[in-house]
Amino acid sequence: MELRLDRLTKQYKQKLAVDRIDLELKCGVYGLLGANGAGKTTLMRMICDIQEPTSGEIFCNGQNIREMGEEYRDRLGYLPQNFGYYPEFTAYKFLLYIASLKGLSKQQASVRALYLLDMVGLADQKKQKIKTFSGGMKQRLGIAQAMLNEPEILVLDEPTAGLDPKERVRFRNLISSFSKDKIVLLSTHIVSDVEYIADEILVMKDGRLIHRGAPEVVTQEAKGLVWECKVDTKDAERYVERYNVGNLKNTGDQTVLRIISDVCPCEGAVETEPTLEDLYLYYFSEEEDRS
Amino acid sequence: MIRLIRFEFEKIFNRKTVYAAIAFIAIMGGAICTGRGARGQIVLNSDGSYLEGREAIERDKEIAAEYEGILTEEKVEEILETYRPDTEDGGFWLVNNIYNTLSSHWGEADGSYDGRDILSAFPDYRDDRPMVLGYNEGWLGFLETGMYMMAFIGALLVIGLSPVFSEEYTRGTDALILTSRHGKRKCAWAKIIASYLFTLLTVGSCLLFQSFVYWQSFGFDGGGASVQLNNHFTLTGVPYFLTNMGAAGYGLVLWAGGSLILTAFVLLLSAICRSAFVTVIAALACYIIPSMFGQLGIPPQLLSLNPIWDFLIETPMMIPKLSLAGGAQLSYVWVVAVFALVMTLVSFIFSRRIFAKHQVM
Repeated sequence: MELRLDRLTKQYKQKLAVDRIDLELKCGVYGLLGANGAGKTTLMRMICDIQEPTSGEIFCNGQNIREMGEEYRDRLGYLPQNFGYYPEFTAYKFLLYIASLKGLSKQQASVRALYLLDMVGLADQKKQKIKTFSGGMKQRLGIAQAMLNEPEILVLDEPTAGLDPKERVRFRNLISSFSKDKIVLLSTHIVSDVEYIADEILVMKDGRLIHRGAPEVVTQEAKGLVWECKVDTKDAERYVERYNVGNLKNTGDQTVLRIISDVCPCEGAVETEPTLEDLYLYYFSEEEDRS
Repeated sequence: MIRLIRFEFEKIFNRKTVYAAIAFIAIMGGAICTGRGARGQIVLNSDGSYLEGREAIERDKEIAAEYEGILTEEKVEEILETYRPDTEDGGFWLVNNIYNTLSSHWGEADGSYDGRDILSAFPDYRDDRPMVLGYNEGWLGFLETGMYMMAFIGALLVIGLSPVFSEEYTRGTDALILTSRHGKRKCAWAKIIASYLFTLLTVGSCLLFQSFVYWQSFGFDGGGASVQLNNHFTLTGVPYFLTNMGAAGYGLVLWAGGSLILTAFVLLLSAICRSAFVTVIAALACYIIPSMFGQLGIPPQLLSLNPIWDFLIETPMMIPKLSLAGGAQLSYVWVVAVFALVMTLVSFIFSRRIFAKHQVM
């Protein structure tokens, strides 16, 4: 299974949302990182063929996805950022409906729906109407519907939004067990989610793909930029204003700061091993502040 | 496919507004049928006493049987003289079905015959065939009730079908549907088929209900009588020979045609508009506003392509028949029917295409 994006571009009036992206995705889990407005969602929608590119094309195993039509969609599973549902449907009926859209037989649909409800921890709520669900439960239902047809290409836009830590762990395990021989592309703001399960990280900024590689390789981009220092608590605010602070921990009169900076922020600061979150903050702290 | 149609059908019926509209129509239908049905019938006897309900209907039918057939001036004079009441306060209005019918066209203020010939009461009539008299209460009740009920059913169709596509956009379920295998084709077909089934079900049940009420109360008597001969001022302007039964047939064609045109139109709007609310407002406006076009001098041929004018049936029926090759003549009602089928086809093709090409935002 191979997905190839060929100079993919999307322009909305004045804004260039996705800018000439060339990308090859083979089986594995890809974590798409980027600030709000970086173009992640637009890129995912184009991959799912629900937004037409301004220019460029997408090929699945060498075939243009627009020409493949049903054959391509048959291989696709998608969880949109704002997961839509029918409030009056029960969780089980909703999955049966999506399963019929995906072309599963009645029996297959029932078996698969029950299995996935169990996998996402909604088996006991299968007869409850979706309108009674919490945000996390709806999100889990969204993940289940995306996996109904055992897709070879699974696109998940912010799948962990609204999930509590326990649910996120369950989600990561689910994706890991599911991802064999499949392409899983997921975007998230929660960097640790992709850090644990992604084989490759794709970093997007202003519609362009600025980095890609294994998490440990991409993380090394931030090597020499992450510092830890202990400052007086009364001075901590000054550092927060001046530097990109990744973490702040009070220990009595002193505060331990984790700072991402091109230069050593203060005397006694110690260079530390970067994490993916540090890299994210290095690239996107300004955009996040703006948004 | 059947599963998908069932789901789409269920989605249409999952809305409280649809149930509210159905309840309203049921209440209105019940009220109209009660008022126009057997309970509302009165016949005045020569001794001043009244018959009501089923007794009145039976008496009306007896009188009609006595005079049914080709209408002549002599017959008009005889009926008006025989049944003219003694009252001087205009009470002749509620005497019996046949008298009421004739007095409304040829009656003086005191209920006597005004002396005019038959055709002078119908200046637009352009047919060689003479007018035929008969009992018409049931047929006219059916036609008039149908007009009002179908106008309400039109609003129900707008409310029920406007969200079919547009609510998917509003809810964000468009992304799930359009990325699924059958989303761009079978699901769209299922939505369209479910919508037409909804139309068939609502229009069909309404018409079946009122047919049952009227034919159970009044029977089929008078089916061969001219539809122009009535005291309700309904369809009196039809310029060609048309029986009550023929008018009911045309009425059914127009109601079905108007429903199909409206369904097609709402589905197209629903596929285009990004919000269900906007679709409802736009569709209601497009449905209701043409009802005001009658005053603007717009040709009836154009008016008749609007569902509201088809539901009100008079305008399309009053258009003179079209002359075809070989001397054959065709009622404009059939033009409406063909237009309805074309619109149905257009809605099938284009609402599916618009939905399939919809860009998720």
